Amino acid sequence: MNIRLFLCCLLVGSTLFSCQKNDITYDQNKKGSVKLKFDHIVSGKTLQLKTGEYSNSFNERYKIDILKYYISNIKLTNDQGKVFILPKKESFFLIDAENPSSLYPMFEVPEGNYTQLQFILGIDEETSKSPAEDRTGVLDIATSGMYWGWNSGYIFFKMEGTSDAVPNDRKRFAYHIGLFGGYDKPTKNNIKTINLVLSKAGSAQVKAGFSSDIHLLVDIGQALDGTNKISIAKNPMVMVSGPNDLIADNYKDMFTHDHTHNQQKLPNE
Amino acid sequence: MAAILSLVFACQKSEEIIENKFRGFLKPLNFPEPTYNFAGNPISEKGFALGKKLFYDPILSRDNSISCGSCHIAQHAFTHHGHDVSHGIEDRQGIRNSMPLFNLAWNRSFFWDGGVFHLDLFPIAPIENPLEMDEKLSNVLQKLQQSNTYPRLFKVVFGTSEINSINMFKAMSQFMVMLVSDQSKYDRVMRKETTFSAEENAGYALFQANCNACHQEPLFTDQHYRDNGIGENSIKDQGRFDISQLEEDRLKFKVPSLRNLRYTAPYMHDGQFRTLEAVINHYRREIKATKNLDPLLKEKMKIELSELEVQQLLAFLNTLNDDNFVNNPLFHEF
Repeated sequence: MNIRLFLCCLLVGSTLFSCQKNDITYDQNKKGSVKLKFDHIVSGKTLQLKTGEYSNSFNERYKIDILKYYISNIKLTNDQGKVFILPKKESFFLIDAENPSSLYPMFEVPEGNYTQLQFILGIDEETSKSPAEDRTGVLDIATSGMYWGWNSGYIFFKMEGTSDAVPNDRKRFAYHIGLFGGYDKPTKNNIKTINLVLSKAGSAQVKAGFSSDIHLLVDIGQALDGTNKISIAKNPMVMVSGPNDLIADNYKDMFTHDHTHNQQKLPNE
Repeated sequence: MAAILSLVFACQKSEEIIENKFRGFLKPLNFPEPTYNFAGNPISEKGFALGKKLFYDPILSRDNSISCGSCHIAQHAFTHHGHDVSHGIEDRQGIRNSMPLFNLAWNRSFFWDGGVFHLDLFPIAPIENPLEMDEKLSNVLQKLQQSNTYPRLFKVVFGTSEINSINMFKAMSQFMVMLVSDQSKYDRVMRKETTFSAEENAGYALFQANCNACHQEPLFTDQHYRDNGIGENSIKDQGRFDISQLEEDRLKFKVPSLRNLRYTAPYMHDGQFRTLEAVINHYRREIKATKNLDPLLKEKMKIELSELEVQQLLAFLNTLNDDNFVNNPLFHEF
């Protein structure tokens, strides 16, 4: 980065942050809350399940009626370079566009000024291979609707809907993307790690007694229209076979950090 | 508690079954260590009974019409005898020959394609397969929770009357891992309790020379996936490839055990071989040069056996049948 660009960023940054105190002190022994807000859009438009109509670069129009995906293994890095890893068992969240309460995962982290967020889209390999007794909560294979029984493994990302481009009478498309790399021999691995820099659009200044709301824009349109262009007509069903890796490569880029609201009051206070 | 048990076992009151009463899981002397994690699911008599009740209960299917036991019949070493591929709900036909169930505690994977890697994660597959039980697991759990008997039985076994996928599958595993077949003549010979006849001995030598590389003793499978050259069938079932999506796995299927063949005809993943003679003749003269044909068959493209040797081999295979296992009332529905 050249110096002029750097200074320019600094200037913009300082303007944006001018309303925030720079002298917050943090106590590593105290914990505050972080809320991740998943705000779904499709190629720039708000996601409206069942009713909203969208299109891809093949000029195929489509509607989405199911959108679910797993977020797990959450890590936050503060401005001192210190990494906080959310205890693994508490780090699994199933984001379901139909269920508003699922869109705002909340958890506690030590106080600090967090400038980086990392998570996995999907379920890590170890958990994918775990015994039945560990599969509780959103990992419950009976209730998640995100599990292949015949090919033991979680579906990481599920998007279904309708499009006139689908060459059959039902006009339905379904993208169920999973595959964790195989149980005993390496196979396709679609586990994606998402890294987001928070400092540009506002770091998470976590203080005890408050919540820092990290607002993420999730552009679902990227799933079909990212680096790889996926035609609904050509690939109306992608699950264990088909270009699932291309779709996974696409959706790993669908997250952008939009802004952070710090010092938000907690609901019960 | 006793009342519940007597209810479950009401069908087993006759005297002679004392021989086959529940003794917990015992590793046969001539078997290796099991792969199933018993520490994670300690086997109890009541857990076994609950698993058995679930195994035979059609409540697991969408219209409450078929149970696991419908296609896995005890007298046939828990396969669907006489059917090339199994029939599910509303007589819908599956694509594969249902595998027999025995010695599952040693399995490293399940199904012909090995798609499931823990026994405790197995039952969801047939329950939710539209060609089998066509039910949602969450509905099954609801039906069980609302029944008059199950919450009580789960409370006894797991200390909670709340039924979830974890304790339901653990109960079913408690029944399934107990299906140990180790009373064949072969087993008794290995334990030095009896001896082979001359013909069986000759067959055993032929088996060791020609079959044991894949059908490894004492389980009679190495549990690997292999293409034995029977070729692609009419529905183009790709076997292990459907799970791994690796070209090298096309037309590979898990090597099945050779135990209990008398009760489990027809043979192979799609049941296209009605007799053992037909299977042996496949290896003698019908192997197809498929792309992933197993290297052990590729060189000669045949297993050379005279007619006499075929009879000897069949005599040996006959020693792998376990009448005690298939007739054990402990495992039977009624």
